[in-house]
Amino acid sequence: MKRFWGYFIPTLAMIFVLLPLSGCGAENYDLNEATFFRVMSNMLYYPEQYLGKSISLDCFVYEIDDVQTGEHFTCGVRKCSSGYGCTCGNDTIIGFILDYDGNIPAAKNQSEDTSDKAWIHISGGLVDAEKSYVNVYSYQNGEKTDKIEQIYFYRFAVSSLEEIDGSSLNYYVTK
Amino acid sequence: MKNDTNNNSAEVLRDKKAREEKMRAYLQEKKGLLKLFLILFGAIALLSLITLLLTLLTDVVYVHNTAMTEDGGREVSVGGIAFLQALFTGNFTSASYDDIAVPFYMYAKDYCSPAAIMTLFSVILLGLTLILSLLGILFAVKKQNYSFSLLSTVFAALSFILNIVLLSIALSMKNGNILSTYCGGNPACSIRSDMVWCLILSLLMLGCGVYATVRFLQLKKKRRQIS
Repeated sequence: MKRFWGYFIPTLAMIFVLLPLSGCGAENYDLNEATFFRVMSNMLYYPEQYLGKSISLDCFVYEIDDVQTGEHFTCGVRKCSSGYGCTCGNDTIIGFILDYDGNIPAAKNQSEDTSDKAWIHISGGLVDAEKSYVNVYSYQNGEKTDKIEQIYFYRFAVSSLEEIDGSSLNYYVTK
Repeated sequence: MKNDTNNNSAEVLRDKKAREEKMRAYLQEKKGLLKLFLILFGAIALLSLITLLLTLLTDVVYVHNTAMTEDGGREVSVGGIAFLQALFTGNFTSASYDDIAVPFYMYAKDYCSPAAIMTLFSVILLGLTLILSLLGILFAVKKQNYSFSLLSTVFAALSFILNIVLLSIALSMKNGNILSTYCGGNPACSIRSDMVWCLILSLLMLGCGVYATVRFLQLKKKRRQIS
């Protein structure tokens, strides 16, 4: 009996110590196909916890103009759904406005349903936790409408950027 | 006078025989009860282990979306382990713990901590039920002592109650803003929980324990009547 408790108590203690440790200490976020959507969605809601952290991801170049101010933005994004389940709503994009001193390749097939896009691997971090809103025409069932909607991004300070072959990557992400 | 004495001794003999018969029946029943205890508390041990694993590994709460074909319509979910991790780290906004941050903590914040605490208590109680039922079997076989077995029935009852509370909290998340905000009011979206299965299993566990206890008390009453 004593032997049983001798094993049981340390095992229980180990579980209670290891369980919290198993999920913490994530100082860097290296997004991959499995984590991209969840981390990016999380970042949209809780940007503060990503400030000062190193983030790297694969995305494609997307150029967008604010239809009201005319301001031009170069973004690194992936396509997803604006609705629940990320397959049930209208298509939208999820990503960042890129702040980069170097050359960013021009967007290619950015709105087409193809993986043949200008793919890049970027590293860096959030500039701040302020959302930048961009006014765009909304799409309904793939058709452009006259209705204007706002989409928002965080600014991403790019420390390194390289062009990559994105043929094996998903331009459309789900959870 | 002689006849009276003969009658008395015959009566005593009959009484003795009847008591012996009762004792034999009692011992037979006691043997049967031991077998029953082994089966019932073996079942409780197995059920508590399965319930414990289900609590940890299945979804305590999830959003079911009939519009989704993947993952059995489970759009977003939080498992028992994720709830425990969030509770221990105090971080309910991390993307590492299933979908706890979005939408659950975002739109049903008030329910997340209670659900995590109840998950922890549930896991502890189920673990104790498992240990006590195993000890109960061991003590019943080796020392004819049933106290651990009966104690495990008490813990099975507590586990059942906690499972009801946990399931209620999980399903109460529909009162948060998940369905109206996250699901955009889509009627295809609903809040569900795998804890339903845990509740059924813990009810079975409790049933086994209560039946064993009733049989034990009946036998104890018989023993008292004999002596």
